[in-house]
Amino acid sequence: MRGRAAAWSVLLTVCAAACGTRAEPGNSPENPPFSGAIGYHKIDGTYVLLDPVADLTDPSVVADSPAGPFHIWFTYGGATIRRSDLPHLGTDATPPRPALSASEPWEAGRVAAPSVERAAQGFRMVYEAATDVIAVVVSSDGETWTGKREIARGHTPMLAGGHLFLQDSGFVYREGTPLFTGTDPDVIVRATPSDRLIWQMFYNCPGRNSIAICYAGSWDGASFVTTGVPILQPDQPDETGPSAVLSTDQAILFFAQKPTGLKSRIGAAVAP
Amino acid sequence: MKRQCALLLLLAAAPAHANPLDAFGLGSRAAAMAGAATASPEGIAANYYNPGALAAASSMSFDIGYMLASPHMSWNGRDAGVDQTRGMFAGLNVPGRVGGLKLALGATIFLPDDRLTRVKSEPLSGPRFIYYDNRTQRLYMAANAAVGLGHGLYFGAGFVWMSSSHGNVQLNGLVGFPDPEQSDLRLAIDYQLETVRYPQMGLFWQHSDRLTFGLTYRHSFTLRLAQSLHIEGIVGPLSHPLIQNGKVDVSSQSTDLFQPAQLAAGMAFRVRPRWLVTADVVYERWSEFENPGAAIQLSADLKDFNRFVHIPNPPQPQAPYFHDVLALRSGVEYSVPRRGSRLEWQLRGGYGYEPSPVPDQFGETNFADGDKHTLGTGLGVVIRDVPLLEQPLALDAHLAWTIVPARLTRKALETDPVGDFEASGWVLATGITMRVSF
Repeated sequence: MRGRAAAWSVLLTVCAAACGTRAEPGNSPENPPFSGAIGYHKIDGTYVLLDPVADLTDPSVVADSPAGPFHIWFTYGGATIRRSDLPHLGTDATPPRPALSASEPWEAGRVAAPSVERAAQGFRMVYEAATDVIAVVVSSDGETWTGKREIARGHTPMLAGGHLFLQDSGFVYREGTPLFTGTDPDVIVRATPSDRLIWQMFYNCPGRNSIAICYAGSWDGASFVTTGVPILQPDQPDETGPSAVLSTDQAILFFAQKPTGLKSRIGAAVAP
Repeated sequence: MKRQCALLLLLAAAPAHANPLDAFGLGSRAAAMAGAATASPEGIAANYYNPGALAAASSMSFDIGYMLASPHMSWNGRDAGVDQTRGMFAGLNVPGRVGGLKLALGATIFLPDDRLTRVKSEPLSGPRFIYYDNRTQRLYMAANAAVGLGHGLYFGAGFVWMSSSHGNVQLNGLVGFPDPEQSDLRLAIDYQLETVRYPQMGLFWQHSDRLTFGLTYRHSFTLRLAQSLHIEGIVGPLSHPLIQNGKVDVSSQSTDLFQPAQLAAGMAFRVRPRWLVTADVVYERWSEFENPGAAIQLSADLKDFNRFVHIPNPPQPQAPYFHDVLALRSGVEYSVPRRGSRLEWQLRGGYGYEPSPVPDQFGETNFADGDKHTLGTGLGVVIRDVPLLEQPLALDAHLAWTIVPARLTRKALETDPVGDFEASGWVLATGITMRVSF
């Protein structure tokens, strides 16, 4: 009986040895949750949009989906606002086309720093006119803008959650209330997976050798907490005017960068 | 390249915990009954569920089988990419008598298809499914001995083996500065795998033909990974060195594997001749769980340049504050009447509930987990009159479905890099087992 036992054991072990024993590497976690607060790296090629004759600054991006297309409004040459469309990262953007020009006396020949958001009738844009006028304008298609009117004083405005954010004298304000030191605020209000609102602000702050991009968050839109350190350090002088597109699995940060001796252009960074 | 490999070895932190049998069971019969087998393990299953039951067996048996468990865990509704566990298991139970004393020896091994064990590096705050991530990616090897104490009482004990890792990387020589091409460094790697073992023991009591009890203790098991990097040498040209005998030391300590101490109490009651009902209560001491993130220490002696160098304190792993849990398991087995056939069929089912030991995550750590509900089902057949075999041949198959209901994590900080998330998932496990008795 022991002999039979040994024979069966050997037979079964040989059969078992024929079972699959292929090896595969262990995976890193896929699709890990992330908030968009850190982890950005600039995309290959650094910029997504440039113009050989004019500085492009203060981008404001509205995305049809987290992967694009991206509709980008920006200051063109310092005094007008133009628009370009980017199908998705890695493709060529359309040539800049005029979106908004100064036409009112109080604009004093200058419109700049657009911030565009979707609205019930199409789109709403707040922008800076003259030297410190904040104005609003609306559009049904994002191409033709009407109904210009002044709403405040300050610089680089942003509408989010029904509130106006802007900068003045090196401070970020929500309406008339100063929040913290910084410039060029871009605020996104969205629901977290646990169904509470989070206000996420990307703004300019002092960097290593130049202007960098920092992050602040808030649960109520009134009291913001900053990380205290830049989330994206400039490798070109001055990377300004951040505009973020956030989703549950990827964040894209658009910004203007001004290489020494070259025209300012629009760059992008992604996370994670 | 060698240096890069050495650094990779050094910086690897390893979040791996417990073993695949804790998660998916051993043998199709026990897995079909949701793991409620402390008082009724059969064959090699006794090597895990209750070593004492080895001596209660009436004949020598050899088990072999294959198991596949496929986790489908997700956060925020998107697949987390948790790896499958699959592999072969086999074992032997050899009961006998010495001078009227019932004795038995048993051994079992679970051999994963993909790897013997896995060391995986994740950031300290990296989100991970702590229960299913690396926990199940390891070899399991156990050997036990059991003895009959009389009056239907049996005691068994044994060890489970693993290996521990200790590594030391040394770089000595000249660091070329400002011209790195002049560097002349010698690399030495000293890496050791040391055998470690932890005990387990069980009491098995056959109160009557209808009623058995079991009590099993599995000891806790923490496997640490210790690695260090030592760089020593001259910086600058040999003729005019900037730093003479400078030193940089980096050491990393992390938890490679963790298994909570477990105390399982079980009962099996044959309510009718063909109906067996089992129930287990398992206490799991998860409060001893340590953060698997690496604790890194840095020090440097750069002589005259020390005043220019400030080494910040590396972040240290926070205490995870897991809590102990009580898992409940129940199973049922029905033997279908043979009616003269060579085949005796058995139908099995079970339900298990294991609460999550993971506290709410609102700080730096992001351990994803949830309560686990397991539904098991299975089929067994005992084949009699098999050629060459004097004893029946048993074949078992099982299918177990574990559901991890959605659990929301709400972070305290508005600037948290991970943010709020929802973790959920399910695991489908299946397997077959064949037992040959002699």
